[in-house]
Amino acid sequence: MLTDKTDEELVQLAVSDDPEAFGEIVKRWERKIFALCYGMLNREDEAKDAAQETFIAAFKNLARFRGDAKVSSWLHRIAVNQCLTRKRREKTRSESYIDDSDSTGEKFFKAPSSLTPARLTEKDERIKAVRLAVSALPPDLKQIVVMKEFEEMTFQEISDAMEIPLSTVKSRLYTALKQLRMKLQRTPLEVV
Amino acid sequence: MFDTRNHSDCGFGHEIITYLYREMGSAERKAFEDHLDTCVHCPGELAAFASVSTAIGDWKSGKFDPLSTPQFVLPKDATEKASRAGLVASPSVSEKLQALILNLPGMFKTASAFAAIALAAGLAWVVFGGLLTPDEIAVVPPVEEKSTSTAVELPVVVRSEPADDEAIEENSENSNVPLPVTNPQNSRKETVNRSRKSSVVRENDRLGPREGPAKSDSKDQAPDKLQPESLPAIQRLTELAEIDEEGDNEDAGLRLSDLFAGTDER
Repeated sequence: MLTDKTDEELVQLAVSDDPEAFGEIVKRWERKIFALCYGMLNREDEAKDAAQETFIAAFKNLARFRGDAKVSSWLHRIAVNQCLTRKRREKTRSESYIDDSDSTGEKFFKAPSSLTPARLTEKDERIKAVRLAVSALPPDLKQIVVMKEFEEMTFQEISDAMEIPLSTVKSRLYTALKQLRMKLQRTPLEVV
Repeated sequence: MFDTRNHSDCGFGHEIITYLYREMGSAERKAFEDHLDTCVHCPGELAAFASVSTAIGDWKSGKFDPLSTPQFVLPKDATEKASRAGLVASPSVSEKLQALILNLPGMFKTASAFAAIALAAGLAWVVFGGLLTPDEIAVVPPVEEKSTSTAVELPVVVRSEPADDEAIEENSENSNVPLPVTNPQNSRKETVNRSRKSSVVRENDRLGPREGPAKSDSKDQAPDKLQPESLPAIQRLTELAEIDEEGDNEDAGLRLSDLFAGTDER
């Protein structure tokens, strides 16, 4: 059974020309990688493309995968590189991610029916402010925030995926939250 | 870029993060909650971080969670490129060498083929040539004592005249014997001697019919096969035969002895 195997064993099977093995890897990581790309890029279409490119790049470079590294680390590194490449490309075009994402992402937003229109507007403003603040973070801090909040990974998993010490993960997240708090001081952040 | 030290004013920055995301053990959590009761900085910082985290959570739940996970399909060309790039199995050294030779231009292919043939020939010489002794390699027919030349040449056979049957018969009689290696000059001298003998035979042939009567074809051909020294005796024998035909056979034995006595004298 492929579901019983570790990520590293699946990679070995995929290198041995087992097409279902790589499918299992995609199945395990597609949601998390998509979340990471969404958190880094703030756009659904860009996140889909980046995640797709991530798995294609991983598939093409399966033979180069180092056995001593973790598949999660490998996939995250590829995904972050894909996102940064797209960010740089978009910067050269002088396009705003946030403004575009508001128009493309609205159709997927379904607010609870219990909220009044005023509360809905307030929440939208708050979300928009958070998205702006997160987007302004340095890439290494932003990656930690997205991995923690969007992928819901533990500190240890982030440490393994990024191949950095656990204390460094906590320090980076602390720094990121502190910067976010300072940026959002002008926006009232009510805990709903 | 950023300070990796504990940023909390009271030195509990890591604990605030760990407590916020509920990854703290029970004993550690109890100790940190005791600290929160007494600290003036940590409860405010924890509340601010919780608000930021909740806002990010709202963003996730409002924008990302409704999104369905896209179906990631590897395009066909990606799998083909992967297989071409050696994803399944890296080519062996022999396969790489074979591909290299096949991709060479025509001239280099021909040169490689010649090099391979030369290499094979050299290997064959080393393997098989090394097994033979020098005597076995130089298999040469025995050389005549008179021969001074080391060159191996076949004897020159002069077949210019049909009358030179003597030399042909000699060769035919000795056909089972290996041909001697002769010096071309010696063989030329021998040929000259044989032609001289042949000229004697032809002279006798020319004279024979003139002196004796015409006989059958078998008698005409007989002298050609005899030695030149016995030809005068044959002429005498012919004369005696003519005398016998006339009925005088009494002195035949004496005449025959005379005949052979004459031959001995020669």
